[in-house]
Amino acid sequence: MRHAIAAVCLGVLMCALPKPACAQSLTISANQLMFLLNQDPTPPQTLTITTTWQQASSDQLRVCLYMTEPMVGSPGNPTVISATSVQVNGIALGVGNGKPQCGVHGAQLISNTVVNGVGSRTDTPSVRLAGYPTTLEVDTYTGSINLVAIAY
Amino acid sequence: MKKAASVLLAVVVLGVAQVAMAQNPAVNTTTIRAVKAESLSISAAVVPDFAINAGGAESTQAENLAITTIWNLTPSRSKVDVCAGASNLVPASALTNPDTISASAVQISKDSGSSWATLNAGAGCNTSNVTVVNTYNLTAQTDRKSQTKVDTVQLKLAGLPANLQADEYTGTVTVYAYVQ
Repeated sequence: MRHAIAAVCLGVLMCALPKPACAQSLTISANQLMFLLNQDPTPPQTLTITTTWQQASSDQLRVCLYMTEPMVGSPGNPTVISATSVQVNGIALGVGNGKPQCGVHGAQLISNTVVNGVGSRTDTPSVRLAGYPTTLEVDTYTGSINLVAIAY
Repeated sequence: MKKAASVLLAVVVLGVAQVAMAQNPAVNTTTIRAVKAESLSISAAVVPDFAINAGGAESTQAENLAITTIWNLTPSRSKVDVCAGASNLVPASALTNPDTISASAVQISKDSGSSWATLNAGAGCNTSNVTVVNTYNLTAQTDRKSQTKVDTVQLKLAGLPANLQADEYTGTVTVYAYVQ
């Protein structure tokens, strides 16, 4: 009887945990991008996002991107490229569609697929810079695009 | 026995939670860079023709040379030099007129004619046989960013041979912008 109660309790707790606990492995990575600011918008470049998984069950896999900080230049250079000037598939990063994606408010959903077992997928959104300030100082501006893959 | 079951339960739950935090969601970052390149250009307005009287050692008057320099430079740049140099002036009738006006006859004044010097007597802008017309020290962002500068100097011809054959003599003034 005691064992039965303990087993039931364990089952309840396991079910209460979020389903992501079932993910066995999940990774995401992407290439770096570099743009020349000699026209606005810049010619688009392809961001190649590779997501790998090893799932015990059939899950929904979402891949998202977002930025939280502008692209900045050298110390002392006050001009920046806002995250809203970074466009993915024509939509400004940092804006999204106004509702959380991948658990992040403002993240942009890149793909949403069903996955199972062991596998990988590649997403290739188009990225460009548009509407950046004409008053930018000559410099190299660097920022980070955050990548998120979530299975649920 | 009941105590043992509770301990086992805690161990199992903690283990599962740790796996979940480590693997899902997966997060990473990638770098995005953008380069705004430097620019530097220089140009000079056409210098009006000099008139030389018969037997005259100098041109009858000085003429203005306006040099326009435009730049947009990185924060690491510290100065821009503007320089000018001249070539010999050769006659239009070169086949029958062997005379030339030496480049050393081209004189420059940077103070509205108060003092004069041979245009090709100095060095600067990483070259020789020039005059440094101006040096712009870049100490603030406003000095480096989208600047247009116009330097106006005066030129004249001096030390001309008295027996210079009548002709039309043409030479070239080359202007330089050199950034460091």
